[in-house]
Amino acid sequence: MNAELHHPVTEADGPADPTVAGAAMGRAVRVADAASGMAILVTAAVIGLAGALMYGLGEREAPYYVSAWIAIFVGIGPVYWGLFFALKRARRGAGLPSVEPRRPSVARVALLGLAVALYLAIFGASVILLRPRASYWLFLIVPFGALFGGLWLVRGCLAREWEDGVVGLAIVAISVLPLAYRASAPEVWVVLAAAAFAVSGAAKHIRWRRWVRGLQRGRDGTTGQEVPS
Amino acid sequence: MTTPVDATSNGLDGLIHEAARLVIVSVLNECETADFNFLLATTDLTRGNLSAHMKRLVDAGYVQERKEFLDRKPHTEYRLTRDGRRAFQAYKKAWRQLTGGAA
Repeated sequence: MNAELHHPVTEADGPADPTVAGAAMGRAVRVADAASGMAILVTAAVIGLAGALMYGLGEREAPYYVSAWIAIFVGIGPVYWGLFFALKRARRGAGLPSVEPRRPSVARVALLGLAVALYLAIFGASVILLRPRASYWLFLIVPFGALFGGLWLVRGCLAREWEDGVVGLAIVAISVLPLAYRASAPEVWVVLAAAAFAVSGAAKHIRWRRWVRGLQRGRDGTTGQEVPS
Repeated sequence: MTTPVDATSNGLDGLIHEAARLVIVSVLNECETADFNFLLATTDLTRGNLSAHMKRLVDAGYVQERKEFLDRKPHTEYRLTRDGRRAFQAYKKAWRQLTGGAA
């Protein structure tokens, strides 16, 4: 038995060091975030394919069109969380580290819900006042994309996760682009946004795989690092 | 449970104001749930050390522990409780006041 297994824990272990705690916290955030990479990648791929299918069908006047889009957007949550928990279960079963990133607080979700409701109300009012036009969807995605993309960009920079910064920039770009190219379609926006998220998910998953491989190398004794068994 | 005098006299939570436990609580605060292997890998603690510190945090009600068996292998998952999150926030606030916002 390793003597460390019986290492007595006392207060003499030392006072807190915020620098060490901060470094561990940063590591945990990055790895916990990376754990969701595969779920983001697959969800984005599903949304992108659905967008491409809708574009291919090209029946915007069809009665199912709006309902299909609502179903696609409502389905994002269940698809993502279903995949995430399935992956988590598989990792646990394989003896790999498993983690779930921290969820936003109830207050933050409520605030976000309020902001989205207000935004949709403004969009509805603007559509009624301006009369539906072929390009009315621009009122929906341009401000949303610019704001959401901007927030994602800031988040990526603050968390030092380049893939989120790239997604933010991509969302801003593809949201503003239709103003220059009016011929583009809403489905194209969805497909491009999904592609940006797929790239981000792939980058996160690669980071997760590298971290896990690092642990496994240590376990095999090819590095001096002590790792879980 | 013993609490160091220097911690309580400065308004710091003695349970959190310990090098290893501050690292553990800081990591758990950034996660919804994390299992033993994840904590082991991110905190750089030894198995025995981590296990003993987790027991103290669970006993104090700061951390919730969930044990299960997967393929007859034990698996333990941890979650910071509401009390744990409050205590960590209070600790951070006290630390900032103590250091004049330096940390």
